[in-house]
Amino acid sequence: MIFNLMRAEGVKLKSICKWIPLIQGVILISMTALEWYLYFRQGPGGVYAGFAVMYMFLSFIMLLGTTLLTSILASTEHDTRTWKQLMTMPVPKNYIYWSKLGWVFILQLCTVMISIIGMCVIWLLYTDEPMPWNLMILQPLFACISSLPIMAIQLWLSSINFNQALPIAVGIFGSIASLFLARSNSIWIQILPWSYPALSSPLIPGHLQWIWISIGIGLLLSTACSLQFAKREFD
Amino acid sequence: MLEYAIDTKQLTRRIGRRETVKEINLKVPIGGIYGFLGPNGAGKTTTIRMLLGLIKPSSGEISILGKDLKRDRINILGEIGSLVESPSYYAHLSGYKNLKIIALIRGISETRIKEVLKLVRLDKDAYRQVKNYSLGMKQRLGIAAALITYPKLLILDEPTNGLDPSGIQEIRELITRLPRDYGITVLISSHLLSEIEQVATHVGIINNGELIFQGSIQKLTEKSRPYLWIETDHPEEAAIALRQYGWDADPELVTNQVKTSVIEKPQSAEMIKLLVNSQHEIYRVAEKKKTLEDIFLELTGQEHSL
Repeated sequence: MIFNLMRAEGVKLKSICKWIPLIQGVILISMTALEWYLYFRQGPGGVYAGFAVMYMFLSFIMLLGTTLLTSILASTEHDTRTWKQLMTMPVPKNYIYWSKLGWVFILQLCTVMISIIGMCVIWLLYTDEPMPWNLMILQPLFACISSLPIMAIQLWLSSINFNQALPIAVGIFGSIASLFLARSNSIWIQILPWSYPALSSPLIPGHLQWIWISIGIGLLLSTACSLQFAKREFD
Repeated sequence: MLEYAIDTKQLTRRIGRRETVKEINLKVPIGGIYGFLGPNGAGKTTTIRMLLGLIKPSSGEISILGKDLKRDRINILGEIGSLVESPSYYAHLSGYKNLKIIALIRGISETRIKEVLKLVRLDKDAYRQVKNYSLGMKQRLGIAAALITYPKLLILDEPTNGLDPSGIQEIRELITRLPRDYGITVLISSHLLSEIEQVATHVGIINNGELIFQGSIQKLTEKSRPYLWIETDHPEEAAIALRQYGWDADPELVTNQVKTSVIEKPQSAEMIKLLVNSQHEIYRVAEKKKTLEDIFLELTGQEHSL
């Protein structure tokens, strides 16, 4: 049933949603390459400093992309008031939420793939050093997995608000705050879901625990949001 | 055997202290076309939303096709086609793709999409973006979406809103065909009696959240019995004179008229002869029939509003 819903969700996907992963990937790679070339090329890290540069942009871009994708997916239903039609389908109401969340995750995985491919191409063009596969693949992948809690929150916010100003504002503030929250010494600030993408990079010691926390909190939040979504009365 | 497709018991919806729907017992017979009538804001859409599980009733029970809505929501929705208020559609997609989304969720074959598009005469425009459709076409697409699953029960909320006369005629024909050809029970809501009158077998009238009439359309038309109105100089005395001869007659002092239910020609001639002989001046005699519109306004107590 959920598979059918996902397929239907795929049919109604606006073309901009298919472009967002590519746009995110291109921006991430080009910013990383440019920043590294201008400021870090001569540094002690050499080409490997590129990953530290990527780290600075990664959580911001991941969270911003999530904000945009969730908002567009929800607006597709808000625009012509199709929630009510969806809600009269003979499926559990929370599946509708899960199918949309599934698509956000898939599209963000595409961003990850595009970023990895982009980085590999630049690496091959620029240097003869062996490919650091571990960092190359895991850094963007972990950022994607650890933004799951924010995907859940943003999708919920976007679907309950007809006006997308609030969800987008929250999303933008969250994306900007991510790096700063992660730098805090207080565990109570680090535990905020916005910091997870910045804490889960393989460059950060103890990142694995943050991945597990992200998955745990992510599933918890998604379940809570999906249940609240199912209870809602849509106009 | 199941008698009613929709059967509600004391259905109520409260918002704060205000009751938008008050203890409604809706009985929609199987295989009929039930016209759900009421002025704007009477609670029609709220009731329909409750029937579809879009909003929750504050109290009361809903049984649809013999099943309890609270317990069997998904099974019930599988047998219902619906169109609530304005049609829902994805403007950036074609009509065909809009239906494909529903077909995918409900596991229906693509050949059925073509069938329903033909049924609502959208087959030629199937691959155009819905945002370029006219309002009537969007409405027809909404009806196609409601019909795509071979529903047993079709719930249409104001399906002819915003349609031109030929569009209304088309939808009307389609709706009358459904119970006959496919055995579908139809609940159709409207604020226009003239629209319901031509298709419905049963009528429910809701006003201020209360169901003020429910029954067959014949029962409603019975209320529109014609009367003979005789305008005279002294209606009271004229009425007394007529009653002495066993005719029923009521004086209407404001308009100087006598109202009687006797309308056969020979008898009316008798009555007038009698009045003239007893020195009453007769100015006018007219037969008036209440239209359903009058009855509707009378029932909803809105005959004096604008």
